[in-house]
Amino acid sequence: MTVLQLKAVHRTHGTGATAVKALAGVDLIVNPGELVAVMGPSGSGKSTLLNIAGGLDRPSTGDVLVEGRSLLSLSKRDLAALRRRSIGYVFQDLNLLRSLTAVENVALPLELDGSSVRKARKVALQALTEVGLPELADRFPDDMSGGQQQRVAIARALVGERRLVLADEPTGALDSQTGESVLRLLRARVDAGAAGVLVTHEARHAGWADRVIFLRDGVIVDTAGPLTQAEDLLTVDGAR
Amino acid sequence: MRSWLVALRIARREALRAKGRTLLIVAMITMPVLVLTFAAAVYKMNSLTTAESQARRFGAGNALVTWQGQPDPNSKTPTRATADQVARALPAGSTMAPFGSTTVTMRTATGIGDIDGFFFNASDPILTPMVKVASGRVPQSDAEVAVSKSALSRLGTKVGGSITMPKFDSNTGMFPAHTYTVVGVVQISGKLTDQVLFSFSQAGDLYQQWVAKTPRPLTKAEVAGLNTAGFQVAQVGDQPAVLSDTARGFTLFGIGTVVAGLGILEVVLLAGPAFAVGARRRQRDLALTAANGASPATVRKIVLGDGVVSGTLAAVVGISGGIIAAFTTRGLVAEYVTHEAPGGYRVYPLALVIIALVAILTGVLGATVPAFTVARQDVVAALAGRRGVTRSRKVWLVLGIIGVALGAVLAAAGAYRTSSNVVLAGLVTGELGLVLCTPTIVGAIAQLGRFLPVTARIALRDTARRRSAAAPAISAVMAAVAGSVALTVYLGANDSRDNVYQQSYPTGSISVFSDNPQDQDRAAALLRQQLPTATVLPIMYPDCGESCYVQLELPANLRCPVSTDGPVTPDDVKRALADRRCDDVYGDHLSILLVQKASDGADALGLTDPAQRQRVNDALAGGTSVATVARFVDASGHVSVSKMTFSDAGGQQATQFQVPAISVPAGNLQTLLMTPAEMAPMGVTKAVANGVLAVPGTILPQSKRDAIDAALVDAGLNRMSLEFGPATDKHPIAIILAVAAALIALGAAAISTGLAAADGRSDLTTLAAVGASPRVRRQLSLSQSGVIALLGSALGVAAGLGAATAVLTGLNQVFAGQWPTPPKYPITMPWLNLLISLIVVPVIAMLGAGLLTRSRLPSERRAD
Repeated sequence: MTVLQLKAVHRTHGTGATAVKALAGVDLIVNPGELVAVMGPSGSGKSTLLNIAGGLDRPSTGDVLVEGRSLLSLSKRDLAALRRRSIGYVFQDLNLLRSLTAVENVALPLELDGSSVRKARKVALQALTEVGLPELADRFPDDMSGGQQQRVAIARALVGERRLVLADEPTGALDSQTGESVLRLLRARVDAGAAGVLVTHEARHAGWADRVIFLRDGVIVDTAGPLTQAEDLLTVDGAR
Repeated sequence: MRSWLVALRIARREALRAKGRTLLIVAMITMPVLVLTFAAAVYKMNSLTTAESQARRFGAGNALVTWQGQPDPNSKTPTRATADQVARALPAGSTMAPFGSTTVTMRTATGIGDIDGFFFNASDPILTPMVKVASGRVPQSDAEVAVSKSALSRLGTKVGGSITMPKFDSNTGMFPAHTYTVVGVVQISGKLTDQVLFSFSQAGDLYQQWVAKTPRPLTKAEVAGLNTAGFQVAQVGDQPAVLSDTARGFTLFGIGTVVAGLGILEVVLLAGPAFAVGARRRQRDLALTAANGASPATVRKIVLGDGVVSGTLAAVVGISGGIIAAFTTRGLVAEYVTHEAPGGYRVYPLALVIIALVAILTGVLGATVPAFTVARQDVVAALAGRRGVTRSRKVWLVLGIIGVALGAVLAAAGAYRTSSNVVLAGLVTGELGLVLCTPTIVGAIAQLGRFLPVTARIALRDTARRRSAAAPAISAVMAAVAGSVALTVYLGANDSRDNVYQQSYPTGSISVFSDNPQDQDRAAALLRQQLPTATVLPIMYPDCGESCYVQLELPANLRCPVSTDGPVTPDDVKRALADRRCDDVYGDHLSILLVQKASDGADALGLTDPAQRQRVNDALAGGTSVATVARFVDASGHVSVSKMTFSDAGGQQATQFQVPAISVPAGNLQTLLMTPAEMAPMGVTKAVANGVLAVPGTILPQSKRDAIDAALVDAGLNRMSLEFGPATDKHPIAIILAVAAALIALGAAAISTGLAAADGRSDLTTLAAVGASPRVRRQLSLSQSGVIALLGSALGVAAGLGAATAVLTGLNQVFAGQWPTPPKYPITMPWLNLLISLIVVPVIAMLGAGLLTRSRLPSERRAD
């Protein structure tokens, strides 16, 4: 079953003369085991697309389905439940709650979902181990490097049985080596059956994706298949 | 100096940029400035000038001459002075007008009440300036009166209506029943109390005063001459008696200084979080400034400049507002607070200057800690956007502990030496010490977060992370609650000590005394009619004849062996202190109250507990007396009743009787309850009643009491007496402080929560992204608010109880080695205050935060 589907999604911010079209008729399908990269200039609607895909924002028109369920029919409470159980989010920065330790940050969606502290901690430790940071379980974010924080954020996005991972420039604040390790984790999860959407500016990071879509002014202007080399992007659209 | 100009310019621009935060800080500082300005202006307007005071006290005259002569010992009525006598004693050319004032009993709207009565000719040029006519005119005949505005409603009348004096027994020499026509509404001597102005001839024999207008002030010799002639003289220039400025051992100035100081401390602590957040928001900007050559001192000045700007703004707004408020509400203040008309419109310039400087200083103090904190920041880390955790410097903790310890010692030592200023210094030092310790305490308590649910855990840990902003708010709550709790405990202890109150009848009971049996019956019937649900009993005592009385005595073996009748030696003191029987040397005797029926016993004691009532009634029915003071009952269950008989030869004989008795406490009631049958073995066969007692169970409202009095007087009976019981803890200042503490706690929680919410937007975004339900935002606000209010209140309660204990222990130590030992100051828990501080206020703070927080989580991330 398709994990994520956007059907003719429009999103307009504001009204009248100050209205801004963030997305204009976007159609997108992401299947299990598929990582889709979204690229485009600043203001093209990448973050808006991700917010709508994750239920943090609603389209002005169109529909969004996650695992066959239309998000438009869900209440705020149901959308929150969806994000706790099915959707994982990774941002570029300020991912972690600074008042919680690493393991508590990872366990956060589980605890919010009603899991006991002990059980949530156990599952969270497992997730931290998968990202290679079990020794940082009881550290606070201020005592970790940027790369470590981002890996903790990945662990939180992947904890439990998440089927959709949305990453908004997760490597933006990291050095190349750390960024690569973060993408490797993401790729591994997608290969294990999840679906992923990765917003990135970096062509070499888009190379980790199965498919790249290009957004401009809220419209998908092009789609590319798996990119084996970064240079492949130069041949997709001579206008770029 | 130049760097200050730069700093102030930056601060001014920043204030305009962050209008919301600036408004918050200015509002916080403005409030006490406004209140202080208001108080200063009210004080100045109510401090009458010499001319204003003279007009009120003496009218157009300059002296008040009062007859004080010795009464003729052969006559029941005092000798009277004549106007001629006064005129001869005054300088030539003097004029005078007779004047009188006393309390008169009038029929009120609800019954009968006492009211201030004035008797003079208000048309006399000397006395006219004493009277302000609001409407109508002054009385011009014996059948006319003018009343004050408040008296109109009290007396239930209006201009053109009438008022009546009730009829009293002419033997008492009081007024006969008389009706007067109300011809005007007046204000006498600037007072706004209930007043009635009669023509002077109505004073009759009551009072003899004259207001004199002399051509020059009276000399000392002339005053002495008047004194010798039996007159007391007060004249312009004599200061009226000044009330002692000592209130319960603490000087009013000392208290006022401490209250003002604590008030400023509260504002500094409340404004601190706002300055801290502002400084943190500008962390990168300030780091850029530092990177471009600004020294740490300059960075500090920029933040301190925020305080100067805010303080100055607050001074302008607060002083203007305070003056306007004082001028526009002076009528209300006069009517409801001072009960006296103020003087002219004026302000207190020197006080205003000081208040303005205090406002600026308050702003600067509020910005001081954030200024020093941000000046210490790592520039590189700040430029990279990393904040780090603010760790409390150990030096503040050490200073704080020293402050607390020193404060406790000073407070106790000051109490021991009964030096109020040392006590106050100790309390302030201790409180400041706790303020310095608060950040460390907050950090330590945050360790408990792992035992809490996730939102509470985030709130607690976040509070510790933001302790530069949160700790001042918690300290503000702590300081306010500590002050309120400490004062409540102290005042409660003072009341308990002062009111070793002994009463003979239950609280709320009404007694009407008369030796006439018919009057007693009529009074009883009347009381039953007025109070259908109350028990009405005769007040009866044992009667063993004219030269005899019966009383309850402490058994010999329970009496203190050391007597206070003669001189007490040091050895006596030692023996007495070592003997528990000497703990209370007051009250070795109790009176005896008789009830006709055993079933009346519980009512006579005003008992409400069913078990106690049954116990009393059963005991009396079984021939056992009931003592309300346990120490009078010996181990064998007997009390010792003494019958004292005096012979004509001057001798006396005491006969002791052991009477079976039980002990049942009945509040402050101190009596032995018996039935007449139990008196028989003592040879006492008569019981005398001297009145009736009604026990309604509660203290009746004034209107009901007035109505009963009116009914009694109309029936030709004596007026009633009400047993009010011991003074309860109704000190207005304690209540005001408790309310102020609650408001400060709510305000501090609201401010801190609001700032945390503004500061924690990114956390909310993250929470939304990981699937927190919309109500988590509300839960977070609720938890943050609760943490501030509860932590602050808990610390404040501990500090307040500690402070009060230190002071009361010191006070008790003063008399530790003395005997007879005055009653100790008991240390009792102010349960109501604790309930409000620890439960009500945090709950309200949390509910308020929850209600005012939007339930929607922010759905958009911050823009890249």
